[in-house]
Amino acid sequence: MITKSKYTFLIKDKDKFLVYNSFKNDFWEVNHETFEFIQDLNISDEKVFNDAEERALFDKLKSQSIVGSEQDDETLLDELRAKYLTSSFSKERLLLTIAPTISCNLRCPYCFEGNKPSGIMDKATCDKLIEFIKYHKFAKSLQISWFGGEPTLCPQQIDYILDKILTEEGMPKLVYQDIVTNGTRLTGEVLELFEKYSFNMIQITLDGWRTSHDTKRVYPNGKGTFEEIMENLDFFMKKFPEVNISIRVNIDKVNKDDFMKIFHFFKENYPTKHNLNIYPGILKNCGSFNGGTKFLCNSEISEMYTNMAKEGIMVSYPKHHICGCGANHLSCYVIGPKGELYKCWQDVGIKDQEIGNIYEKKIFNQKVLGRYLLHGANMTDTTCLKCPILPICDSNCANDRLMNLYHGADKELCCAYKENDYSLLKERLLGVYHQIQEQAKHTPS
Amino acid sequence: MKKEKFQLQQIVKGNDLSQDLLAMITGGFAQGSTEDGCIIFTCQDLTTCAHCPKDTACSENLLCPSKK
Repeated sequence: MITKSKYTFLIKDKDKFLVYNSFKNDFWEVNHETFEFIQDLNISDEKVFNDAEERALFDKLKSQSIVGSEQDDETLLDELRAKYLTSSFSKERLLLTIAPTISCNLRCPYCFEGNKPSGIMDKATCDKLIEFIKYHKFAKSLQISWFGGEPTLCPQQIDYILDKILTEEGMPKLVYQDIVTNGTRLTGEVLELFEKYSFNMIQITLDGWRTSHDTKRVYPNGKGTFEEIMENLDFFMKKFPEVNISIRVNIDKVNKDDFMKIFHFFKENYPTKHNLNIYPGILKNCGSFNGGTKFLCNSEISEMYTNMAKEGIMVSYPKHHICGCGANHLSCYVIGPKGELYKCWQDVGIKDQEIGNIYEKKIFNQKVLGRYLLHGANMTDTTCLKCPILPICDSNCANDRLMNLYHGADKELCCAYKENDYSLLKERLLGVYHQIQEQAKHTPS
Repeated sequence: MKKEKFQLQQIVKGNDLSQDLLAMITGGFAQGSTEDGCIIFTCQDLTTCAHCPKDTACSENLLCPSKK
C-alpha cells in the first residue's frame, strides 16, 4: 500500500497545515486539501489518479518521500544505514579524547569519575601517544578533545603533546581541538597554552546559578567555585575573543529554573559576544556516582524546552544525526593517563572496559570493541530502526545502550522528541514556523 | 488567475542524504562535517550525558547564537 511515509509528520495548528519529513528534514506548509490528501492516502496502485491535479500532487509528494510504500521507507532506511556505516568505519579521521589525568581539583558529588584511580600522564606515555597517532597511517585529519579529570591540571603534558603533533613528520593534520574544563584554573600556564596553540572551543560547566553551583562544584574543603569561574570566564573572553565558548549549564530537577537566569545574565552582560553558546546540559544517571542528583525525565525535559520557547529563546530546527557517537566509530579512542584505550569516556578507569593500550599497539578486548562498533548505535538497534524519528534522534549514547543490553540497566534511550506522541518535535517545528513567519514580516519584499 | 486546488510550499529544506553519502565515499565534505572534512560527532543537547566533550562541538546546539 502507498500511504503517508512513516517519516512524515502532519501538524495542524488552527488554520495552518504543516508537513515535516524526518528523513529529508524538509518542512512544508500546505493547504487543507493537500493536508487531507496526505493524511487519507491509502492506495495500492499509483495509476488510480485520473485527475491531473491529484496526479501531479502525488508525483510531487512521492518524489519528496512524503508518501510512499513500506518498501520505499525501507529503502530510505538502507540509505541512512549506509551513511552511518561509511562514517563508522572510516579510517581517514582520527578522533582522540585525551585525558592526561583523571584527577580533579573539585569534588562534584555526581561526577562519573567517582573513585577511579588518579595519576598524570608521564613523558613516556606522551611519547607513546605520539607514536600511536602516527601508527594510524590512513588518518589524514586529527581531532582532539582534552578531557579528564580536569585537563588544566596538566598544561605541560598538553603542551608537550601538541608541540609534537604540530612539528613531527608523519602526523595527520590537526583540524580541530577543544578542551572541557571546570574553569577554575584559567590562569598562568593554562592561559599560555591558548596563546601558543589554536583551540576551537573551550567548554566550561556551571551547575546552575551561584547557590546551586556552590553546593555541587566545590573544592575538597567544600568551598564553592561560582565567583572564581565567572571571573576567569570574563577574563578569558576578553583575552581570547576568537575562541568559541560553550557554557554548559548542568540541569537537574532542583536547579532547572537557573538556566534562564544564566542565559539572560550572559546575554545582557556580553551582548556582542557571538561565539558564546549557552546551553542546558541535562544530567543523566551515569552509574552509581549520582551524589543524590535528582535527574530529569524525558517529559520534564520536554516541558523545560517548551517553557524556554515561551520565554522567547529561539528553538532550533531539528538536525540530522546520522553518524552517531564517537564510541561507535572505528577511529575514535579515549586515551587515559596511563595510555589505556577506551571507546567511551565514561569507561575511563574501568579495567574491564579497556580495549587496549597505546604501549601494546593491539586490541586485547575485542568483546568491548565489538559491542560498541556493532551494537552501540541506534542504527544497529532493531527497535530504533523502526522509529519514525531515527534520522533526527539526538539521543544515541552507546554506553547507555550497552548498559541496557549487557548489564541489565534500564537507561532511557529515546530522545525527548518522542515523548507524548512527538509533542516536543511538533512544538519545536511550530516554533520554527512562527519564527519564519515573523522574519518574513520584517523582510522587505 | 485560477487558484490551484493543492498547495505545497517548502519552508525549510533539509539535507540531501544521498549527496552526503557520495561526499563521504569520495572524500568530500559531508553533512555534519567541518570545512576540513572532519566529522564532529555529536551527542547533542537534549539527552547527552553530563560532561560530554562532543556535544557542543558542532555549534548546532539549541541556543547557538549563530542561528539567531
